[in-house]
Amino acid sequence: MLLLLPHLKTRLQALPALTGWAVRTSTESVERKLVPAVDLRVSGAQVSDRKTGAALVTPAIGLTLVVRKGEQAAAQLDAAFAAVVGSLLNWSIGQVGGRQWEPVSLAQVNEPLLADEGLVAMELVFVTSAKYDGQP
Amino acid sequence: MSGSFAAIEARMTRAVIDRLSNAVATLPGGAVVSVIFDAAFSAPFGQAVETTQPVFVARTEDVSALVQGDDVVLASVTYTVERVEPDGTGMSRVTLYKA
Repeated sequence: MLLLLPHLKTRLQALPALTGWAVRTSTESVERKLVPAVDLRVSGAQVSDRKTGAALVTPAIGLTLVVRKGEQAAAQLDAAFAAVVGSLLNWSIGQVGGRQWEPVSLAQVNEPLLADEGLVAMELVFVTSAKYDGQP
Repeated sequence: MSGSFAAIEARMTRAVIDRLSNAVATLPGGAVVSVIFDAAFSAPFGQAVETTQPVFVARTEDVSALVQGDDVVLASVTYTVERVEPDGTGMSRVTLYKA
């Protein structure tokens, strides 16, 4: 499921609304000082359904939008939020990592986060699901 | 008695700043005060971003007029005041971010 991250990253990098944003995943070794930024990470997963020998795994993909605090911050975050939702909501990722993934849905939006370092962020959590087979 | 204690406290805070200050801050209005400056590594939002958290400690009476949003210059870098926290003993911790 971690292989989903580069696919989402590629899709977000193509958004005109995110031009100039650093888009990065938690599994990359990259510079993390640049802002505005989008940080993508798998923050956990639920087992949505289970049957003998198979489980439907639903990873939560946390997407944090980070901008510098200021008069433009609210507009920047709102524009990025709308663009991200427009791009990912109901997107069919298709086959990744050898399994078929369900269309992406938006599960949660967390309140704007403030940091003393002069940054403000908003977190969106997207989910998708795929079947994992075990022993019959 | 309390006056005496206040005088001792004032001498102590002055001595601390005199001995330990490592920078001077230019405040709004042009006043220059000695401060203990630090900018430690910080990774807010669950390490989504890496940055530093600049702060300085100064005598409360030197920074009593500072408020959130003021600009302060240290080593030719302009910072914005995020928060001023008097500790109740004559010193204040001022949290900053780069303007």
